[in-house]
Amino acid sequence: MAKILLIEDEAPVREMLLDELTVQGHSVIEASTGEEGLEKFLEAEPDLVVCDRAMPGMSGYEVLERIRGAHPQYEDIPFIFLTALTDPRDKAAVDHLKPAAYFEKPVDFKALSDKIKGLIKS
Amino acid sequence: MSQILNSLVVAKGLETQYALEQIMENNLAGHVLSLVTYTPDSLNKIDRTPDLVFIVNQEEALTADEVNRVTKMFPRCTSVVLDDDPERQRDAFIKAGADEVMSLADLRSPLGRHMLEKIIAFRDLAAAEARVEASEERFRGIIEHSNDIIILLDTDGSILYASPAFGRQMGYELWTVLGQDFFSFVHEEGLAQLQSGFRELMMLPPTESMSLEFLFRHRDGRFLTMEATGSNLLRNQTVQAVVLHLRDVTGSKQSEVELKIYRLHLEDLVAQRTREAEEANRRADLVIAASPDALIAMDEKGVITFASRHYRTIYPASAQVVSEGNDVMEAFEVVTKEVGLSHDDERYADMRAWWQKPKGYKEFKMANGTWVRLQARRIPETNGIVVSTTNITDYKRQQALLAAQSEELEVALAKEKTIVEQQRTFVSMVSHEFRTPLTVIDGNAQIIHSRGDTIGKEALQKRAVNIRSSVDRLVRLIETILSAHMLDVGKLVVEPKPCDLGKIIRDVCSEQQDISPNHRLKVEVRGIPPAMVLDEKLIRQSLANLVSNAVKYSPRSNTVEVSAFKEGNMAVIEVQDHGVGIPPDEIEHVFSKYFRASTSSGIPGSGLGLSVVQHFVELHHGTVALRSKVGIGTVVTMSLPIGEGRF
Repeated sequence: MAKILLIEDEAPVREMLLDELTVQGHSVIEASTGEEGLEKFLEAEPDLVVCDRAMPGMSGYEVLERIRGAHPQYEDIPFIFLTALTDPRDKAAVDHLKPAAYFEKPVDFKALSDKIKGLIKS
Repeated sequence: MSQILNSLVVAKGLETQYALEQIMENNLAGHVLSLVTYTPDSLNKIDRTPDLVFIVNQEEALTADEVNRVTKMFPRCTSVVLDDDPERQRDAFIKAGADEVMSLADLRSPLGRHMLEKIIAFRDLAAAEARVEASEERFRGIIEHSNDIIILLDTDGSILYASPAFGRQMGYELWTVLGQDFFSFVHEEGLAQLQSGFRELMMLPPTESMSLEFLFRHRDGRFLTMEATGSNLLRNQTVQAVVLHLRDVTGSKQSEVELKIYRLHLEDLVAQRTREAEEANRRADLVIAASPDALIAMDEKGVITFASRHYRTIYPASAQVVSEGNDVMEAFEVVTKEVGLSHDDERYADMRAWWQKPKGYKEFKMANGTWVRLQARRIPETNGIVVSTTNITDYKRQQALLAAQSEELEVALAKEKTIVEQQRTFVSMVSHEFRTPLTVIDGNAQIIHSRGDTIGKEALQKRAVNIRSSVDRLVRLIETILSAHMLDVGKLVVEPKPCDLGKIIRDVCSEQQDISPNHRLKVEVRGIPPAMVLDEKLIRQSLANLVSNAVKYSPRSNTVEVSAFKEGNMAVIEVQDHGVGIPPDEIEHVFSKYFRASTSSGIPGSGLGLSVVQHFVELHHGTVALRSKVGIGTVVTMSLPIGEGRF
């Protein structure tokens, strides 16, 4: 299926998503901080990124900002945000970085799975 | 006797004329002769009447008719017919109007000269008579046309003569008044005086005159004021009367009265204006006195023209100098001493410059704390200046108060703004704090739901533990929020009872360890009493907050140290992490509700934890303190008093 980079600082959430995405047949690379995620992104060049938005240290917003700014060649790699920040202003703040999708927590696995499938096919 | 004789010669021939010329020159030198050849036309052209006409009957004979035509033309002048034979036609010519008929020889003889002299004498007499007649004519004209009334009275007062002006002005036909008693026309008011004046007048010599004034009745019945100048000409043979020159002065009398009334009116008016001006001055004085401002007026040279009494109250020591007639700058020097403005004071030069040319306004604080405002106004009419001095101490005080109040308000507003911002952050954070454990619960539930039968027992247990720890996290979050709310509304109930603080510490750390397997919590408890009277629930929640904070804010370090010990009468608990730390200028705010340090970015939190901890500890009469260094870590110290009876 696809090579997915999962960036999530909350261990129980990360572990759960890893389990679910693996079961769905994806090969998942884990990262528990933004810095680690950016590093692994450049190293592994995944097909798709699932990333938490609010993290201590480098946030998900900063990770995508770095990718869009310094590495324009990865423009086509879909970037999915997971977030517990539900204020519309928070969502609007990332629109200019053109994430492929924006999922609010708690996440419906079926919806996430369908989105990933759709993005990979295209 | 005049030697000039205008002569006219009427003749048909020129030879005789020449001879005549010679005669006249010889005998009557200086006489003007006009020589005219007789024809009817040429006689018509003569423009002045000659004294003597010579009608020459020599070369061409004249008829008596012709002579008559000439004498008719000059009826008043002497006509002499010159004839070689005077006797021949003398009677006919005398009959035709000639005065004399003589020959040229007669004319040259003494007879002729005598005749000429006689003519001259007659002519002069006629001229004198004519002059007298003209003079009388003129005199009559003057009297007849004069507006002065002339009346001649007899000694008994009856009117002998009245000039036409009397008729015109008094409305009477002259003939009706002649012979009448003059005094019967006079108004009884002043009549006696006039009569006595009249008697007096009759005693006067003719060279003197006297004035009389009386009311004289007009024919229509009204009385006119007459002014009379009387002369006594009773002994003058020609006049033999008392002469009165009367003039109607009713009009001027009336004008005089009117003038007098008008003058009185003017005097009244002046008096009234003066009263009004005085009243206005008095009012102005009152207004100036009532005004809270001190007023000083100066002319364009800077000399004081007025200083209101208020100056004495504002500058009592300088009152003598601040007065009329003094130079304003001299006054300024004295006043500056009084208000305590030394020459070194930078305001001195400023004020001095202002007083030299007062314009606009100036505010000044005296040494005694009184604030005054000086306001200059130019008076366009006089080019002078009025300066008002107002005590604005109260105004200044209120202004300062207002400024302070507005500053307070600004601070309060800023605070309010901060609180609103913090609350917004709080709402966002609470949402995050709820959603993260809910995600874990929901995600695990989805996994169990979709693959419950395929995953092993162990995995299932792990999912259940995850769910439970998330629920625990939610419960704690709810408790913190509720506690904060209870504290807010003052409804938190403290339920103290003896409990083991050491055990509470160990329990909290153990629970945190379960949730955070990546961190290592080192716990050390020593020397604290086994039983302390505390509200266990509140203390447990406080400790749990501190420990979870330590874990949460040290994402890159895994060691958290918790130690408890006795210090004096206090049980002290220290929670130390090696995490992100807090900037020094933010430390004082960490116990404020909703406050989150700038280093907490990206780390979930409500901003309530430490605030709740502080309140709980204070409810136990304890203290909580925090030390921190960015990038090194944070130590929170909680001290609780040992002993009972505090609640």
